[in-house]
Amino acid sequence: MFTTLLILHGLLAVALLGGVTHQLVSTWRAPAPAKNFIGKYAAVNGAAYTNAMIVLYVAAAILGGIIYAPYRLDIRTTLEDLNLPAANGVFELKEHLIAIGLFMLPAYWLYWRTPLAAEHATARKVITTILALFIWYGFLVGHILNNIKGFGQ
Amino acid sequence: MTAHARLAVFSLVATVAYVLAYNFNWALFRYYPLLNQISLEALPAKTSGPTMMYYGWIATALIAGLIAALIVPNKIAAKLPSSVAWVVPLLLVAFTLVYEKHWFL
Repeated sequence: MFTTLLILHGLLAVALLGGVTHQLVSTWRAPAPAKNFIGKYAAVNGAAYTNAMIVLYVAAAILGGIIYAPYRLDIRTTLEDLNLPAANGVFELKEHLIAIGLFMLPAYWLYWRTPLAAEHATARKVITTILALFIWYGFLVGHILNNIKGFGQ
Repeated sequence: MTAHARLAVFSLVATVAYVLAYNFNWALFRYYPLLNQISLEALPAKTSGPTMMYYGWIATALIAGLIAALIVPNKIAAKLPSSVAWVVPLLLVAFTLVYEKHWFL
């Protein structure tokens, strides 16, 4: 069961990092006609992503929270037995960053509300960048740790 | 904006409260995965297995954020500069990196 939840958690994370990266690029894009692939990739309406990103973030965090308990019992103890403190450390950082990001979501929603306020453009850019970095970090760390030891191995 | 300004207060207080909670171990409760049991007090390590504080820290921060969002008047919340919503998290991330550096030394 936990392997299924882990796969679902990973799939949600893929959708989340795809969406938030799209939104991130759109916030940093200089307004200009989109000509090539990168320009068209960035020329999305960033505000349209906000609610979906929040739902995906919360859902991925809840699933991560559910599989955290068996991780603590099975995988973390193995990492300790294998004397891999850095592997445990990157996960500790992941849990803190994801929690901080979770509590940033109300502010993220507030500053992405339409009509977009010009005076909050910097807040939108930086908050989205921070969240995107948290999500990418969480995804990569989860992937690497699962390579070291997955559930049921 | 004004009607929802308290959301920024929630984010500010909850993020700070979360970092304080893990730094000072202010967990609302502890979870023992081996026993599948939540406890308000520490159980003997020999029989209870590893302790998980994470859910308790989240709960502490959530409650602190909600209380602050309810207490702070909307007028004051609306005066909060939007830069606070990203400067404070960046500082908290910096603190977290320093706090967790012992894993990598």
